[in-house]
Amino acid sequence: MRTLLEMAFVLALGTGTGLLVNAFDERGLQLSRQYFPRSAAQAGAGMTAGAGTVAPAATAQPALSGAAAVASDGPSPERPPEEAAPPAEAARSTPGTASAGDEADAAGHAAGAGGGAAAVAARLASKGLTGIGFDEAAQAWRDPLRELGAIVFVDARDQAAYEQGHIPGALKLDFYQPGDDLAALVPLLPGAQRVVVYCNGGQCEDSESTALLLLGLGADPATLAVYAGGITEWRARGMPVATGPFPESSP
Amino acid sequence: MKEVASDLPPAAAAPVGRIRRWDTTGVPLLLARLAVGGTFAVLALAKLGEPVAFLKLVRQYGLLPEEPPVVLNVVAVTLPWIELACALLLLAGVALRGAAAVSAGLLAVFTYAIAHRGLQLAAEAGSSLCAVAFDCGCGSGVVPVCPKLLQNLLLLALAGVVVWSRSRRWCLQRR
Repeated sequence: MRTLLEMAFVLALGTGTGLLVNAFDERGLQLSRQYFPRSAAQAGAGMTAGAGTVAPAATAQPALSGAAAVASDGPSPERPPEEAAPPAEAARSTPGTASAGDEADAAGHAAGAGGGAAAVAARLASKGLTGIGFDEAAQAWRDPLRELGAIVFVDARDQAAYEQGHIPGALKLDFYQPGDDLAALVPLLPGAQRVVVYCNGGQCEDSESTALLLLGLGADPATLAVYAGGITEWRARGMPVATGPFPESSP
Repeated sequence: MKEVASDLPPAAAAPVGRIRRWDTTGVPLLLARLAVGGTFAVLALAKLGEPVAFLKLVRQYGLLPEEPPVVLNVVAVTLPWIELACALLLLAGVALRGAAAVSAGLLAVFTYAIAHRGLQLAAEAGSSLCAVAFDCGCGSGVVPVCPKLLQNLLLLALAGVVVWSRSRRWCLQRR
Protein backbone atom coordinates (compact mmCIF):
# COMPACT_ATOMS: atom_id res chain seq x y z
CA MET A 1 0.00 0.00 0.00
CA ARG A 2 1.28 3.40 -0.89
CA THR A 3 1.26 4.86 2.59
CA LEU A 4 3.42 2.01 3.85
CA LEU A 5 5.90 2.63 1.08
CA GLU A 6 5.98 6.30 1.93
CA MET A 7 6.56 5.48 5.60
CA ALA A 8 9.39 3.15 4.65
CA PHE A 9 10.84 5.94 2.54
CA VAL A 10 10.69 8.44 5.39
CA LEU A 11 12.31 6.05 7.84
CA ALA A 12 14.99 5.05 5.38
CA LEU A 13 15.73 8.67 4.57
CA GLY A 14 16.07 9.65 8.20
CA THR A 15 18.01 6.58 9.27
CA GLY A 16 20.35 6.67 6.29
CA THR A 17 21.13 10.35 6.63
CA GLY A 18 21.65 10.02 10.37
CA LEU A 19 24.05 7.11 10.10
CA LEU A 20 25.93 8.77 7.26
CA VAL A 21 26.36 12.07 9.05
CA ASN A 22 27.35 10.28 12.24
CA ALA A 23 30.08 8.38 10.45
CA PHE A 24 31.75 11.60 9.44
CA ASP A 25 30.99 13.68 12.49
CA GLU A 26 33.94 13.76 14.85
CA ARG A 27 31.55 14.42 17.68
CA GLY A 28 29.32 11.58 16.61
CA LEU A 29 28.71 8.36 18.47
CA GLN A 30 30.60 5.13 17.99
CA LEU A 31 27.76 2.72 17.40
CA SER A 32 29.25 -0.29 19.10
CA ARG A 33 30.63 1.51 22.12
CA GLN A 34 29.01 1.05 25.51
CA TYR A 35 28.60 4.61 26.79
CA PHE A 36 27.08 3.53 30.09
CA PRO A 37 29.48 0.93 31.42
CA ARG A 38 28.84 -1.17 34.47
CA SER A 39 32.35 -2.49 34.70
CA ALA A 40 35.87 -1.33 33.99
CA ALA A 41 36.16 -3.88 31.20
CA GLN A 42 33.16 -2.36 29.45
CA ALA A 43 34.51 1.14 29.99
CA GLY A 44 37.79 0.23 28.37
CA ALA A 45 36.38 -1.79 25.49
CA GLY A 46 35.00 1.04 23.40
CA MET A 47 37.80 3.46 24.08
CA THR A 48 40.40 1.79 21.91
CA ALA A 49 38.73 2.92 18.72
CA GLY A 50 37.87 6.38 19.96
CA ALA A 51 40.74 7.52 22.14
CA GLY A 52 43.43 7.43 19.54
CA THR A 53 46.08 8.81 21.83
CA VAL A 54 46.30 6.04 24.38
CA ALA A 55 47.30 2.39 24.28
CA PRO A 56 44.46 -0.14 24.19
CA ALA A 57 42.67 -0.15 27.49
CA ALA A 58 40.77 -3.39 27.24
CA THR A 59 43.94 -5.39 27.64
CA ALA A 60 44.86 -3.83 30.99
CA GLN A 61 43.38 -6.79 32.77
CA PRO A 62 45.79 -7.08 35.75
CA ALA A 63 44.68 -3.72 37.09
CA LEU A 64 41.08 -4.81 36.92
CA SER A 65 41.43 -7.80 39.20
CA GLY A 66 40.19 -6.02 42.30
CA ALA A 67 37.49 -3.92 40.73
CA ALA A 68 36.41 -6.39 38.11
CA ALA A 69 35.74 -9.17 40.56
CA VAL A 70 33.22 -6.94 42.29
CA ALA A 71 31.92 -4.92 39.38
CA SER A 72 31.63 -7.22 36.45
CA ASP A 73 28.58 -9.34 36.80
CA GLY A 74 29.18 -9.70 33.10
CA PRO A 75 27.96 -7.35 30.40
CA SER A 76 25.09 -9.56 29.26
CA PRO A 77 22.86 -9.92 32.31
CA GLU A 78 23.11 -6.27 33.16
CA ARG A 79 19.60 -5.90 34.47
CA PRO A 80 19.80 -8.28 37.47
CA PRO A 81 22.35 -6.25 39.45
CA GLU A 82 20.28 -3.13 38.88
CA GLU A 83 16.96 -4.72 39.65
CA ALA A 84 18.30 -6.35 42.78
CA ALA A 85 18.61 -2.84 44.16
CA PRO A 86 15.33 -1.04 43.40
CA PRO A 87 16.44 2.13 45.18
CA ALA A 88 19.35 2.35 42.79
CA GLU A 89 17.00 2.04 39.84
CA ALA A 90 14.66 4.64 41.26
CA ALA A 91 17.45 7.05 42.02
CA ARG A 92 18.83 6.71 38.55
CA SER A 93 15.59 7.91 37.07
CA THR A 94 15.33 11.08 39.15
CA PRO A 95 15.80 14.12 36.91
CA GLY A 96 19.33 15.13 36.24
CA THR A 97 21.19 12.24 34.69
CA ALA A 98 21.49 13.72 31.33
CA SER A 99 20.69 17.38 30.95
CA ALA A 100 23.23 19.36 29.04
CA GLY A 101 23.15 22.01 31.75
CA ASP A 102 23.64 22.04 35.46
CA GLU A 103 20.09 22.91 36.48
CA ALA A 104 18.52 19.52 35.94
CA ASP A 105 21.37 17.75 37.70
CA ALA A 106 21.10 20.14 40.60
CA ALA A 107 17.36 19.63 40.74
CA GLY A 108 17.91 15.91 40.81
CA HIS A 109 20.53 16.38 43.45
CA ALA A 110 18.20 18.35 45.66
CA ALA A 111 15.21 16.11 45.07
CA GLY A 112 17.13 12.95 45.65
CA ALA A 113 19.03 14.11 48.70
CA GLY A 114 17.64 11.72 51.30
CA GLY A 115 16.96 8.43 49.59
CA GLY A 116 19.27 9.53 46.81
CA ALA A 117 22.44 9.30 48.86
CA ALA A 118 21.82 5.69 49.77
CA ALA A 119 20.89 4.91 46.19
CA VAL A 120 24.07 6.52 44.88
CA ALA A 121 26.12 4.52 47.37
CA ALA A 122 24.41 1.33 46.22
CA ARG A 123 25.09 2.17 42.59
CA LEU A 124 28.75 2.90 43.28
CA ALA A 125 29.07 -0.34 45.16
CA SER A 126 27.52 -2.29 42.30
CA LYS A 127 30.23 -0.91 40.03
CA GLY A 128 33.00 -1.61 42.49
CA LEU A 129 33.72 2.06 43.11
CA THR A 130 34.38 3.97 46.31
CA GLY A 131 32.41 7.11 47.00
CA ILE A 132 33.56 9.96 49.19
CA GLY A 133 31.66 12.81 50.73
CA PHE A 134 32.34 16.51 50.81
CA ASP A 135 34.58 16.45 53.89
CA GLU A 136 36.98 13.93 52.41
CA ALA A 137 37.00 15.71 49.07
CA ALA A 138 37.69 19.11 50.63
CA GLN A 139 40.42 17.59 52.77
CA ALA A 140 42.05 16.03 49.72
CA TRP A 141 41.83 19.34 47.91
CA ARG A 142 43.49 21.25 50.72
CA ASP A 143 46.20 18.62 51.14
CA PRO A 144 49.61 19.97 50.01
CA LEU A 145 50.13 16.69 48.12
CA ARG A 146 47.62 17.92 45.54
CA GLU A 147 49.91 20.74 44.47
CA LEU A 148 52.68 18.20 44.07
CA GLY A 149 50.54 16.04 41.80
CA ALA A 150 50.20 13.16 44.23
CA ILE A 151 46.50 13.91 44.59
CA VAL A 152 44.64 14.37 41.31
CA PHE A 153 41.13 15.71 40.79
CA VAL A 154 39.37 14.66 37.59
CA ASP A 155 36.40 16.54 36.15
CA ALA A 156 34.25 14.07 34.22
CA ARG A 157 32.20 16.64 32.31
CA ASP A 158 32.51 18.16 28.85
CA GLN A 159 34.63 21.15 27.84
CA ALA A 160 31.87 23.72 28.10
CA ALA A 161 30.80 22.66 31.59
CA TYR A 162 34.45 22.44 32.68
CA GLU A 163 35.23 25.96 31.56
CA GLN A 164 32.13 27.35 33.21
CA GLY A 165 33.50 26.25 36.54
CA HIS A 166 35.53 23.39 37.93
CA ILE A 167 37.34 22.45 41.11
CA PRO A 168 40.62 24.37 40.91
CA GLY A 169 43.46 22.17 39.75
CA ALA A 170 41.15 19.50 38.34
CA LEU A 171 41.93 17.94 34.99
CA LYS A 172 39.14 17.30 32.52
CA LEU A 173 38.35 13.84 31.22
CA ASP A 174 35.25 13.72 29.05
CA PHE A 175 34.30 10.05 28.96
CA TYR A 176 32.19 10.50 25.83
CA GLN A 177 34.72 12.43 23.78
CA PRO A 178 38.10 12.26 25.50
CA GLY A 179 40.26 13.68 22.71
CA ASP A 180 43.51 14.86 24.24
CA ASP A 181 42.35 14.55 27.83
CA LEU A 182 43.78 11.10 28.29
CA ALA A 183 47.25 12.06 27.09
CA ALA A 184 47.45 14.69 29.82
CA LEU A 185 45.97 12.57 32.55
CA VAL A 186 47.28 9.03 32.14
CA PRO A 187 50.93 9.87 32.97
CA LEU A 188 49.79 11.19 36.33
CA LEU A 189 48.03 8.00 37.39
CA PRO A 190 50.98 5.86 38.49
CA GLY A 191 52.29 8.51 40.86
CA ALA A 192 48.95 9.41 42.34
CA GLN A 193 48.09 8.49 45.90
CA ARG A 194 44.51 9.64 45.42
CA VAL A 195 42.41 10.23 42.33
CA VAL A 196 39.09 11.97 42.96
CA VAL A 197 36.58 11.92 40.10
CA TYR A 198 33.52 14.16 40.08
CA CYS A 199 30.84 15.46 37.74
CA ASN A 200 27.68 17.44 38.42
CA GLY A 201 26.69 15.40 41.40
CA GLY A 202 23.22 14.16 42.23
CA GLN A 203 22.25 11.61 39.62
CA CYS A 204 25.12 12.32 37.25
CA GLU A 205 26.78 9.01 36.43
CA ASP A 206 29.52 10.36 34.23
CA SER A 207 31.98 10.40 37.12
CA GLU A 208 31.40 6.69 37.58
CA SER A 209 31.86 5.89 33.90
CA THR A 210 35.06 7.93 33.92
CA ALA A 211 36.29 6.21 37.08
CA LEU A 212 35.71 2.83 35.47
CA LEU A 213 37.64 4.01 32.45
CA LEU A 214 40.57 5.06 34.63
CA LEU A 215 40.53 1.66 36.26
CA GLY A 216 40.72 0.10 32.85
CA LEU A 217 43.67 2.30 32.02
CA GLY A 218 45.60 1.07 35.01
CA ALA A 219 44.60 3.32 37.89
CA ASP A 220 44.98 1.69 41.27
CA PRO A 221 41.50 0.91 42.64
CA ALA A 222 42.69 1.73 46.13
CA THR A 223 43.45 5.31 45.10
CA LEU A 224 40.31 5.94 43.06
CA ALA A 225 37.31 7.65 44.58
CA VAL A 226 34.15 9.22 43.23
CA TYR A 227 33.09 12.49 44.84
CA ALA A 228 29.36 11.94 44.68
CA GLY A 229 28.35 15.48 45.62
CA GLY A 230 30.02 16.87 42.52
CA ILE A 231 30.50 20.47 41.48
CA THR A 232 26.98 21.32 42.62
CA GLU A 233 27.72 20.50 46.24
CA TRP A 234 31.20 22.02 45.97
CA ARG A 235 29.69 25.33 44.92
CA ALA A 236 26.85 25.11 47.44
CA ARG A 237 29.42 24.73 50.22
CA GLY A 238 31.13 27.91 49.10
CA MET A 239 34.33 26.30 47.92
CA PRO A 240 36.42 28.09 45.30
CA VAL A 241 35.71 27.37 41.66
CA ALA A 242 38.07 27.99 38.76
CA THR A 243 36.86 28.95 35.30
CA GLY A 244 38.35 28.73 31.84
CA PRO A 245 40.44 26.01 30.27
CA PHE A 246 43.33 24.20 31.92
CA PRO A 247 45.94 25.23 32.94
CA GLU A 248 44.55 27.96 35.11
CA SER A 249 46.38 31.21 35.52
CA SER A 250 45.72 31.53 39.24
CA PRO A 251 46.71 28.92 41.87
CA MET B 1 -4.19 7.32 -4.79
CA LYS B 2 -6.60 9.50 -6.70
CA GLU B 3 -7.32 13.05 -5.84
CA VAL B 4 -10.95 13.13 -4.87
CA ALA B 5 -11.58 16.82 -4.77
CA SER B 6 -15.17 16.71 -5.87
CA ASP B 7 -16.82 13.35 -5.43
CA LEU B 8 -18.89 14.55 -2.52
CA PRO B 9 -22.36 13.11 -2.01
CA PRO B 10 -25.26 15.32 -3.07
CA ALA B 11 -26.34 15.82 0.55
CA ALA B 12 -23.34 17.98 1.26
CA ALA B 13 -25.17 19.62 4.12
CA ALA B 14 -24.35 16.54 6.22
CA PRO B 15 -21.59 17.26 8.79
CA VAL B 16 -19.10 14.85 7.24
CA GLY B 17 -19.66 16.40 3.86
CA ARG B 18 -19.05 19.84 5.26
CA ILE B 19 -15.81 18.76 6.86
CA ARG B 20 -14.66 17.16 3.64
CA ARG B 21 -15.50 20.30 1.75
CA TRP B 22 -13.49 22.31 4.18
CA ASP B 23 -10.63 19.90 3.58
CA THR B 24 -10.69 20.46 -0.16
CA THR B 25 -9.74 24.07 0.40
CA GLY B 26 -6.36 22.75 1.51
CA VAL B 27 -6.36 25.07 4.51
CA PRO B 28 -6.73 22.53 7.31
CA LEU B 29 -4.04 20.43 5.68
CA LEU B 30 -1.68 23.35 5.36
CA LEU B 31 -2.16 24.45 8.95
CA ALA B 32 -1.59 20.94 10.21
CA ARG B 33 1.50 20.52 8.04
CA LEU B 34 2.97 23.78 9.24
CA ALA B 35 2.27 23.00 12.88
CA VAL B 36 3.65 19.48 12.91
CA GLY B 37 6.40 20.06 10.34
CA GLY B 38 7.47 23.33 11.88
CA THR B 39 7.59 21.97 15.42
CA PHE B 40 9.47 18.86 14.37
CA ALA B 41 11.97 20.90 12.38
CA VAL B 42 12.78 23.28 15.22
CA LEU B 43 13.09 20.54 17.83
CA ALA B 44 15.07 18.21 15.56
CA LEU B 45 17.59 20.93 14.73
CA ALA B 46 18.10 21.58 18.43
CA LYS B 47 19.06 17.95 18.92
CA LEU B 48 21.18 17.34 15.86
CA GLY B 49 24.31 19.01 17.10
CA GLU B 50 24.50 17.23 20.46
CA PRO B 51 24.52 13.45 19.96
CA VAL B 52 26.05 12.67 23.35
CA ALA B 53 23.56 14.78 25.27
CA PHE B 54 20.68 13.23 23.33
CA LEU B 55 22.02 9.74 24.00
CA LYS B 56 21.94 10.41 27.74
CA LEU B 57 18.41 11.75 27.51
CA VAL B 58 17.13 8.75 25.56
CA ARG B 59 18.75 6.44 28.10
CA GLN B 60 17.02 8.08 31.07
CA TYR B 61 13.68 6.63 29.98
CA GLY B 62 14.92 3.13 30.55
CA LEU B 63 12.68 1.92 27.72
CA LEU B 64 15.51 0.68 25.53
CA PRO B 65 18.01 -2.02 26.52
CA GLU B 66 21.53 -0.87 27.33
CA GLU B 67 22.95 -4.13 26.04
CA PRO B 68 23.87 -4.44 23.21
CA PRO B 69 24.92 -0.77 23.15
CA VAL B 70 24.25 -0.47 19.42
CA VAL B 71 20.48 -0.30 20.05
CA LEU B 72 20.61 2.84 22.17
CA ASN B 73 23.37 4.35 20.03
CA VAL B 74 21.55 3.87 16.72
CA VAL B 75 18.30 5.26 18.13
CA ALA B 76 20.12 8.29 19.52
CA VAL B 77 21.87 8.89 16.21
CA THR B 78 18.91 8.40 13.85
CA LEU B 79 15.90 9.70 15.76
CA PRO B 80 16.58 13.43 15.29
CA TRP B 81 17.20 12.83 11.60
CA ILE B 82 13.99 10.87 11.18
CA GLU B 83 12.19 13.78 12.82
CA LEU B 84 13.87 16.19 10.45
CA ALA B 85 12.97 14.05 7.46
CA CYS B 86 9.32 14.05 8.58
CA ALA B 87 9.44 17.80 9.06
CA LEU B 88 10.89 18.57 5.63
CA LEU B 89 8.52 16.20 3.85
CA LEU B 90 5.51 17.64 5.66
CA LEU B 91 6.54 21.18 4.88
CA ALA B 92 7.28 20.38 1.25
CA GLY B 93 4.21 18.25 0.80
CA VAL B 94 5.98 15.12 -0.43
CA ALA B 95 5.11 11.57 0.67
CA LEU B 96 2.63 13.34 2.89
CA ARG B 97 0.62 10.47 4.28
CA GLY B 98 3.71 8.44 5.03
CA ALA B 99 5.49 11.33 6.69
CA ALA B 100 2.39 12.13 8.75
CA ALA B 101 1.98 8.50 9.73
CA VAL B 102 5.58 8.27 10.90
CA SER B 103 5.19 11.57 12.74
CA ALA B 104 2.04 10.30 14.42
CA GLY B 105 3.83 7.10 15.39
CA LEU B 106 6.74 9.04 16.87
CA LEU B 107 4.41 11.35 18.75
CA ALA B 108 2.49 8.41 20.18
CA VAL B 109 5.70 6.77 21.39
CA PHE B 110 7.06 10.05 22.79
CA THR B 111 3.81 10.80 24.61
CA TYR B 112 3.80 7.36 26.19
CA ALA B 113 7.47 7.65 27.18
CA ILE B 114 7.11 11.13 28.67
CA ALA B 115 3.99 10.15 30.60
CA HIS B 116 5.67 6.97 31.86
CA ARG B 117 8.77 8.83 32.99
CA GLY B 118 6.75 11.67 34.44
CA LEU B 119 4.75 9.23 36.55
CA GLN B 120 7.98 7.55 37.70
CA LEU B 121 9.43 10.87 38.79
CA ALA B 122 6.20 11.94 40.43
CA ALA B 123 6.07 8.72 42.42
CA GLU B 124 9.64 9.20 43.65
CA ALA B 125 9.18 12.81 44.60
CA GLY B 126 5.79 12.05 46.07
CA SER B 127 4.23 14.79 43.98
CA SER B 128 1.51 14.90 41.35
CA LEU B 129 2.32 14.35 37.70
CA CYS B 130 1.84 17.99 36.75
CA ALA B 131 4.39 19.14 39.34
CA VAL B 132 7.16 17.25 37.58
CA ALA B 133 9.53 18.91 35.14
CA PHE B 134 12.44 17.22 33.38
CA ASP B 135 14.50 17.37 30.23
CA CYS B 136 12.53 15.05 27.99
CA GLY B 137 15.09 15.20 25.20
CA CYS B 138 12.53 16.94 23.05
CA GLY B 139 14.95 19.70 22.16
CA SER B 140 13.41 22.27 24.48
CA GLY B 141 15.35 21.63 27.67
CA VAL B 142 13.68 21.04 31.03
CA VAL B 143 9.92 21.33 30.61
CA PRO B 144 6.93 20.71 32.84
CA VAL B 145 5.34 17.41 31.95
CA CYS B 146 1.65 18.23 31.61
CA PRO B 147 1.92 21.05 29.07
CA LYS B 148 4.36 18.92 27.09
CA LEU B 149 1.93 15.99 27.04
CA LEU B 150 -0.90 18.27 25.89
CA GLN B 151 1.30 19.72 23.17
CA ASN B 152 2.19 16.23 21.99
CA LEU B 153 -1.43 15.12 21.92
CA LEU B 154 -2.38 18.20 19.92
CA LEU B 155 0.39 17.54 17.42
CA LEU B 156 -0.68 13.91 17.25
CA ALA B 157 -4.19 15.00 16.35
CA LEU B 158 -2.86 17.38 13.71
CA ALA B 159 -0.69 14.62 12.25
CA GLY B 160 -3.89 12.62 12.08
CA VAL B 161 -5.48 15.46 10.12
CA VAL B 162 -2.69 15.23 7.56
CA VAL B 163 -3.14 11.47 7.27
CA TRP B 164 -6.90 11.85 6.85
CA SER B 165 -6.79 14.75 4.42
CA ARG B 166 -7.38 14.10 0.73
CA SER B 167 -6.23 17.51 -0.38
CA ARG B 168 -2.85 18.05 -1.92
CA ARG B 169 -3.03 21.77 -2.30
CA TRP B 170 0.20 23.68 -1.82
CA CYS B 171 2.15 20.43 -1.99
CA LEU B 172 5.10 19.63 -4.18
CA GLN B 173 3.66 16.17 -4.74
CA ARG B 174 0.12 16.57 -5.93
CA ARG B 175 -0.87 13.00 -6.51
